Amino acid sequence: MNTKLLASTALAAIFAAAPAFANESLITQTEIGHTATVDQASGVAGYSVTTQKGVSNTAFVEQIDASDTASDGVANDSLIDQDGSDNIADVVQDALSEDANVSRVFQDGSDLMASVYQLGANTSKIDQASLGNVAEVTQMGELNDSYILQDGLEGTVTVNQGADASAWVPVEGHGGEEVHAGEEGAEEAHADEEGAEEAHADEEGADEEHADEEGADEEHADEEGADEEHADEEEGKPSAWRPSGSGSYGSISTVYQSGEDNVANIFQEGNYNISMLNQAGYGDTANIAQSGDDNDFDGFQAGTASNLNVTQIGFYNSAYVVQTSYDSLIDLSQDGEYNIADLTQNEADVGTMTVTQVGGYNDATVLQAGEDNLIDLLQEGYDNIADIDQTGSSSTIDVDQMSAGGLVKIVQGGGSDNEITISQMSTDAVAHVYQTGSGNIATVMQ
Amino acid sequence: MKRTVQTALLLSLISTPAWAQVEFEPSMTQDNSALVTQSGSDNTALINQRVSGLLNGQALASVEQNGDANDAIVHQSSVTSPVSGDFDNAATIRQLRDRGEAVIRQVHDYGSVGANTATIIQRSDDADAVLRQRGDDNTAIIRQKSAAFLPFARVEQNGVSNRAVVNQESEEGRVRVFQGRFSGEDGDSPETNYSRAVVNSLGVRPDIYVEQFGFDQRADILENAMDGRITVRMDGDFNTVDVTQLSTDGLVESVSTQGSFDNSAMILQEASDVGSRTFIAQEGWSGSVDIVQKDVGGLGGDNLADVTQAGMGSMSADIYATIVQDGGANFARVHQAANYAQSDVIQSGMDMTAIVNQ
Repeated sequence: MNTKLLASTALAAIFAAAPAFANESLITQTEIGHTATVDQASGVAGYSVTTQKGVSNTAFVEQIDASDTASDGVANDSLIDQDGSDNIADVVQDALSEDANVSRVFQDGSDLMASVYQLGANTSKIDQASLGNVAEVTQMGELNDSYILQDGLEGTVTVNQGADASAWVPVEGHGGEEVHAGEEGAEEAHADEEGAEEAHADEEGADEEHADEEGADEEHADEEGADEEHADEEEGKPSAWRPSGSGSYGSISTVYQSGEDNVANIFQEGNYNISMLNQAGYGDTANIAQSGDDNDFDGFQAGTASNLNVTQIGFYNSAYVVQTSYDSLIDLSQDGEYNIADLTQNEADVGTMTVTQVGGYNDATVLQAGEDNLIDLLQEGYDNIADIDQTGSSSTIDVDQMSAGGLVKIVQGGGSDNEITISQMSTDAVAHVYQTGSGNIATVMQ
Repeated sequence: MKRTVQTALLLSLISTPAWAQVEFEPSMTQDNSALVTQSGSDNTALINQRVSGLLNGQALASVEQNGDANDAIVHQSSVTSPVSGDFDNAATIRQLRDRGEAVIRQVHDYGSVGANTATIIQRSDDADAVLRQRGDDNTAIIRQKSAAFLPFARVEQNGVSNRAVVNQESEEGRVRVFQGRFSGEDGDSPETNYSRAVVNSLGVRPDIYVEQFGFDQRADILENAMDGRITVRMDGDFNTVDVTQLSTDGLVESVSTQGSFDNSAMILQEASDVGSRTFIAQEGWSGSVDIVQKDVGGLGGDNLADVTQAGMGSMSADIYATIVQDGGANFARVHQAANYAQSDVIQSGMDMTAIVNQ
C-alpha cells in the first residue's frame, strides 16, 4: 500500500505545474539532424524542456544536483518531446536528496531511442509510437517509478531498478539463458556512465548489503533459520541470474507494449518492488527478474506466440500472469519461501508452462485451457501446494514435489487423451486427481 | 497450524463431482495419500506408492472410475521403508462401468503389526480384478456386483493370517485365489499359514478355484446358482475346506496333497440338487470328509459323491468319510487305501448306488 501511495504521488508530480527551479532550459528545434544538449550539473533542481520536430535529432539532458534540494520535493525535471523518426533522447538525472527526479520522454516515429538514467527517488515516463523503438530506463535508489508505453512493432524495453544489468549474469542450465535477453540493451545502457560503476562496484559485498535491506533480515530471522538457509541457497544454488546486490526498494515498473515482436526486459533488485507488464501483440517476449523479498509481478500477454520468462529470488514473492492466446510460453522460477505463482493460459492451444519453485511453503495455482498444452511444475522444499486446473484435450501435466508435506490437486476435464504424472518422493504427501473425458492417464508416484 | 490451514484450504478448493464423495484426509503421521477420480472411458490411473522400492510412510490410495474400459493400478510397498514403525497400506479401487481392469499390489514386512487392506469394487460387465499381497495380516476384498457379466477375480497372498474375500453376483464369473505360492516380490516369501479364503458366488456357471499352501488354512465357498464349478487344492496341515453349493449341476473337486496332515472337507450340495458331483481326494494323514447331497424339494437326484483317501491313519477313524444323499439315482463311492479308515454312507430315496473300498 505504501508503495502504491508513493508511486501515485510521484506520478502526480509529472503533471504538476512547473515549480520554481534553480536552473531552467527551453529548447525547440525543427527539421533534420539537430543536437540539443542540456547540462545542468552545477546547480540544483534543474528544469529542462526540449522539443524537436523532424528526423535524426538527438536530445541529451544531464541534471545533477550540486546540493540537497529537499525543500521543494522535486529535484530535477526533464521533458523531451520528439516528433519524427531516428531520434534519440538521453536523460541522466542525479538528485542528492531523496526528492524525486522526473523524466518524461515522448517520441513519435520509427527507430527511436530513449534512454533514462536516474539516481534518487525517481519517476520516468516514456511514450513511444511506431516501430523499432528502444526504451531503456535505469533507476537507482528507492521508490522509483517507471512507466513505458510503446505502440508499434519490434519495440524493445529494458528497465533496471536498483540493478546493474551488466552485473546480472545468467547462469547456465537454470532458465537463465532466456533472461539474458535483458543484456541486449542493458549492458550498453549506462554501464560506463557516471555513478553507475560506483553504485555497483562492490558486487562482492552486495549480497550482504541486500540481506540487510529494509528489515528483511529481521523479518525472516526467526523463521526456522530461513535467513541462513536462504543466504546459503543464494550463494551455492544455481539461479537464473546473479543479482548485483545494490538493491532498490519500493520501485514500480509499468510496461505497455502493443504491436508485434516486442521485447521487454525488466530487472528489479531489492524488496517491495512491483512490476506490471501488458503486451498485446504477436510474438512478444518479456523477461522479468526480481531479486529480494515481497516483490510482485503482474503480467498480461494477449498475442499469439508470446514468451514470458520470470525469475524471482527471495521470500514472499508473487507472480500473477495471464496469457490469452495460443503457442505461448510461461517460464517461471521462484527461489525462496512463501512464494506465490498464479498463472493462467486461456484459449491457449500448444501452450507451455514451466514452473520451478525452490524452497518451502510455496503455492502454485495454474489454470490452462486449450489443446496440446503442457504444464511442468517442480517444487523443491517442504509443504508446497500445487493447484492445477486444465481443460481441453491432448494435454500433459507433470508435477514433481521433492520434499515432505506436498499437496497436489489437479482437475483435468472436458477433453480426452490427457496425461497427468505426479511424483512426490517424500513423506506426508497428498495427491488428488480429478479427470473427466476419455483416454486419459493419471499416474501418482509417492 | 499453518500446515493444517494449508491443507484445509486445499481441500476446500476441491470441487468433487457428486459421484466422487470420497472421504480422504491427509495423514497426520507422515504418510502419503493419493486419490484419483476419472469420469469417462478408456482412462488409466496408476498410483505407485513404492517408488524405488521405498515407502515414504504409510500409504493410502483410492481410485474411482466412472466410465467404460478404464484401467486402475495401485502399487504399495513398505518392505524397505526408511521410516520406522509398523505400516499398513490401504488401497481402494471402484469401477462403475463396463470392462474395467483393476490391479492392486501390496507388499509389507512379515511380522508387522500393521496390515494391508485392498478393496476392489466393480459394478460392471467383463470386469477384471487382480490383487496381490505379500506380508502378514493382509485383507483382500473383491466385489463384482450388480448383474455383472464375465467378471474375473484373482487374489494372490503370501504370509501369515491373510484373508481373501471375493463376492460375485454375476454370470460366468471366474475366481482364482492363491494363498501361499507366489513369489517374485521384494524380500523372501515364506509359506503362508492361518489364511482364510471366502468366496461367495451368486451367478450362473461360475468357475471358482482356491489353492492354499501352508498349515491351518481354511476355504469357505458359497455358490448359489447353477452349473457351478468349484475346485480347492490344499497342501499343508490342519486345513479345512467348507463348500456350500445351493444349486444344480454343480461340480466340487477338493484335493489335499501327499504332504498334508489332518485336513478336512465339508461339502453341502442341496436345494433339489440335480446332477451335482463331488470329488474329494486326500493323500495326507488323518483326513476327514463330510459330504451332504440333499433333495429338499423332492425332485433332485443323479448326484455323485466320490471320495479317495490315500493317506495313513494311526488310530481309529483317523481316515474318515461320511456321505449323506437323498433323492434318486445318486451314486456314492469311497476309496480308502489306509489303516484306521472309517466310511459312513447314508442314502435315502430310490435307485441309489454305494461303493466302498477299504
